[in-house]
Amino acid sequence: MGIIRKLFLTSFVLIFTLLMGCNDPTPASKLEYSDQPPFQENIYLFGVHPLHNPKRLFEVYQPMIDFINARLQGGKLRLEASRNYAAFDKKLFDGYFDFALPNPYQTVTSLQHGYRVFGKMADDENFRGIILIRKDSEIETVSDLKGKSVSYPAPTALAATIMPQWFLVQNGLNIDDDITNHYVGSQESSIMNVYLGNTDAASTWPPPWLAFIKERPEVAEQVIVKWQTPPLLNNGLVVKESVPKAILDQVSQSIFNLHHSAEGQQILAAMELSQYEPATNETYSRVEKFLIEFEKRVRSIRLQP
Amino acid sequence: MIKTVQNILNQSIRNQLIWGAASVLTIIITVFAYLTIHNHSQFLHQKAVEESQNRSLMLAANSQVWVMANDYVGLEEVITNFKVYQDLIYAAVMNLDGKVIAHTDQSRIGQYISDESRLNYLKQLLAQTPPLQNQAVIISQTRDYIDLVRPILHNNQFLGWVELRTDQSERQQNIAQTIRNSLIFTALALLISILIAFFLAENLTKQLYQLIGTMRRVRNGDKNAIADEDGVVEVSQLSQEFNLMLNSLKRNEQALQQSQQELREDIQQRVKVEKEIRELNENLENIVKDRTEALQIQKEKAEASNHAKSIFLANMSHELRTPLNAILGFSTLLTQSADIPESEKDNLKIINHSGEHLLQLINDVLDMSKIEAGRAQLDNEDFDLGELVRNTVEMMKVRADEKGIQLLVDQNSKFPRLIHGDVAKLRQILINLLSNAIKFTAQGGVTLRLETVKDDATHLTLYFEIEDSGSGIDKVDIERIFKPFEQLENAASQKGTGLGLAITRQFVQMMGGDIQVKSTPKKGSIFCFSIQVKHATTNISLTQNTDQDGQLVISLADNEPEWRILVVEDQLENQLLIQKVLKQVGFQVKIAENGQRGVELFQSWHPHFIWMDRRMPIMDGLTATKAIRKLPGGDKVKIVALTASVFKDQRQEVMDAGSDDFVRKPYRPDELYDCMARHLNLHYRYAKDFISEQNESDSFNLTLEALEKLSDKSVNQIYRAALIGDIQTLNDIIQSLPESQASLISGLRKLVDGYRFDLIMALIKPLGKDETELNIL
Repeated sequence: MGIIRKLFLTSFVLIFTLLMGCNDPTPASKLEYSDQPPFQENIYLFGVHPLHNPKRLFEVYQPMIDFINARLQGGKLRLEASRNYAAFDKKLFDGYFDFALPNPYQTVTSLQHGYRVFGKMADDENFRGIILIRKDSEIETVSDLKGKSVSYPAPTALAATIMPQWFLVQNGLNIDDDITNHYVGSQESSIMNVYLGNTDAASTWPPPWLAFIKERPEVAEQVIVKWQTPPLLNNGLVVKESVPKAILDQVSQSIFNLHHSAEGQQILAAMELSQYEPATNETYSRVEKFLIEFEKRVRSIRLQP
Repeated sequence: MIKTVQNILNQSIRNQLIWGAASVLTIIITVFAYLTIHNHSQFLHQKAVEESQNRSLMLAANSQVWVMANDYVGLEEVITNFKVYQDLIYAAVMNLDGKVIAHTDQSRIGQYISDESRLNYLKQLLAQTPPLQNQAVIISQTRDYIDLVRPILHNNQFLGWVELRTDQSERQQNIAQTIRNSLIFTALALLISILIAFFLAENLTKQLYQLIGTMRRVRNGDKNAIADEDGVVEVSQLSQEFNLMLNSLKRNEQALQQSQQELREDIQQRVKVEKEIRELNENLENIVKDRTEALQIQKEKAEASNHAKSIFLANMSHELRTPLNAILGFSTLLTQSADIPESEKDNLKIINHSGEHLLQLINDVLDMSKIEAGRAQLDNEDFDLGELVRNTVEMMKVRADEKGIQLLVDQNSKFPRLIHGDVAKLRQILINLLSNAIKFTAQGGVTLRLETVKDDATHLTLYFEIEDSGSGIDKVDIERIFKPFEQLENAASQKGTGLGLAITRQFVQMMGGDIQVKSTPKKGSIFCFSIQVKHATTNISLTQNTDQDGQLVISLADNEPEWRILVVEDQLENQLLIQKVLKQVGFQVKIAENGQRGVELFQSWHPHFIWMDRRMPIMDGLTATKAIRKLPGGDKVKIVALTASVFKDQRQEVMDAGSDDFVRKPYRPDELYDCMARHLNLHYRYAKDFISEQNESDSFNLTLEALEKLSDKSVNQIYRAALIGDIQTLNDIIQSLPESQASLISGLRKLVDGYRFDLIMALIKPLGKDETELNIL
């Protein structure tokens, strides 16, 4: 009797204890926040205007950033994309970026917001707008566009929107009255709209178009470039005034010598670019003039969000 | 260990059931519950982690683009979607500066992480080299939450990371609930099992105790106690068996009582019978006692009668033999005397024969009486069996020749010469059978076959066979002939007492064998018997018993001194006989007519040798012998008793009295000569010598002359027969000789009788009759 009892109780107690003491958790840690960045690292934001969606942008431009960072002492560039032109414009005009690669319009405008030009994309010849129509479209002349719709990336896209609009105006169209303008946000979106038939024509400029049809040849089958605008200046490289000269010089050095190395050429190839070249504010006065003209005759740009 | 287990197993059933069942059950349930809960907990935890991981993956994927664009709006949209998860305590997206760029708690957006664990994580991320790991890591974990972080990657480049804290409290509650439930169930199970066990045990033990109670009652003598057969199967069986056993026991008891009763009655009966027996016994004893007394008297009477018979026999023996002794003795003397003419000698021969026959008759009758009185005994001594056979055959040959029939001896080479047995009886047997065979055979012959059947160095089994070509015996008569006084009808004319075969059979039986008869009427009969004898131990020299083949004693040898022989004998005839026999050969003889006179003469005359008769008046032989022995010189004198006694014990008496030897009456003269020769170591001159000296040369010459006159054919025949020892042929030849050749006939006959074939051949050879023919032989 005694033995059984003992056995019984012992086992009961043992098991009970076992159950109680369960998983041994990893020690809890308290969450802490502060207003200061933990690591004082010199990060310089490099913003590229949303000629591509963020993912694509990173794919195309991150290699260049990596290239620059590998040769940069005393700081690091960090690439940042933007949702759309509006977001990019806001960031740029707020002085958020340290470096930026805006379009010519944004380049010029940025000069008002603490930036200055230190370089630019070469291949100005490519900086023109193109208007696309479906192959099966009956549009022959610009006047055929009357009463039709056209898709543009963003109102402030220089090559993709402003220059084609100037072209249409030069060719007798009244932008506001004769056509319906759809600002669809991105180059790709613009192209897709005409491909899908949402609009009768799409406005974009060569780099995204070339990239697009590389990726989607079936689109190239259906859509053609109807008109080209005369070229202007390509995208510019601006830097915030507050960026230290040492940094700027190293960055400039790296960027402008890209085309001298195989690696750099590869990087440039992804951008559909031959090279970057130095430039100044002065270089973009032509653009400024054009913009003023456009604003007079077509519509206001800077006031638009 | 084993003892403890055994101990446990021998506890009361109730305890075993209750505590055993309960504890076992509890342990099992508890273990099961624990395992299940543990598994469950683990499972839940794992699921929580997985879910967290999945969510983090989703968050990272969704927020990737916005992190690239540093777009707070987009990020906020994404984070807001996550608010749908009820168990999400917070979700956040951090950039590589450690800045919160999205958070379910909007107040945190724009702040930098500053706690060690996350800083460490950030450092880790920044320090990683490609290829980069996109892995969710549990950065901290408590009972209440799990903190999971996952890096946001793009093209092998960190952009930032996502953080999710998932609430575990519900899970914990769930587990706690489960534990509580299992505990409750365990307790319930325990309780119920104890209860059930208790009731089962109670039931079982109650029944068992009931049964034990019943057994006790039975043991204490309650005849009507019976086990209740209702209950648990096993107990019911036990009860049933118990009841059956009770019944069986009751029956046995009844049977036992019954048998006890029967036994009692039986015993009473027995006691009664015993009493009767005892009474009978006592009666019997009395009867027996009376009978015994009667028998004792009768026995004494019988013994007395027997004794009387023996005395009578002894007396008879003596009375009959004594005159016979005289008859035979004197007639022999006369026969041997040279003074009596030959013609008269025939008459003497008749007298002798008659006397011999009479003696034989008397001997037979006495033997038979001895046998019937049970007084016959074997008188074993070492003797020459060969000589016995020869002598007997010789004796019988005479009769056979007279009848013109053959008597052949076929002796096996292993047949012994010297044996230890009863010579007299054996002689009697042989004589009886041979004489019978000869008696009943008219033509042909009788063959005596002798064999050794068994010889084991001390004992021998000898086999004798007497075959005749006689008239044979009918089967019905074969048994009859062995009966005393029975004679076959056709043999009524034959001589004989009718006792011969009866005695022979008795003697053979005494020697350890039996006689058998095979007979074909008109063809012949075979009588055969075996006897058990021993090998002789002493080497009996031929010269001792025989006196040179029974040669006639003529006189003492020339160089012998004067020997004084005292004869103590009361009968006049015997005196004269002995005196004549002894004086004849040159002994000095004096006669004493009784024992006393004998003693006196011994003292005065000093004889060398005393012949002492046994029965004499005044002083008998034994007393005289004893007396003489006591006298000076009494030890040197040779005393030989002459007794007609037939009984061995009487002869022993004689020896005990001091005699050196004894000779039986009737005796032959040569027996007397022999005895004296042995005891006095003296020598005789024999008739043979004398005769051979005298007659040999005569007969030799005679025979030779006569042989020369015979035809060659006859001579050759004789030679041939002599060469092979053919007595029959020789006898025939002798028979065929003309009567004119009387001397040749007698000479040859003598030679043949003496078995002197060598002499015959020696006689013939020098005749040189046709040598070639002789040689061929």
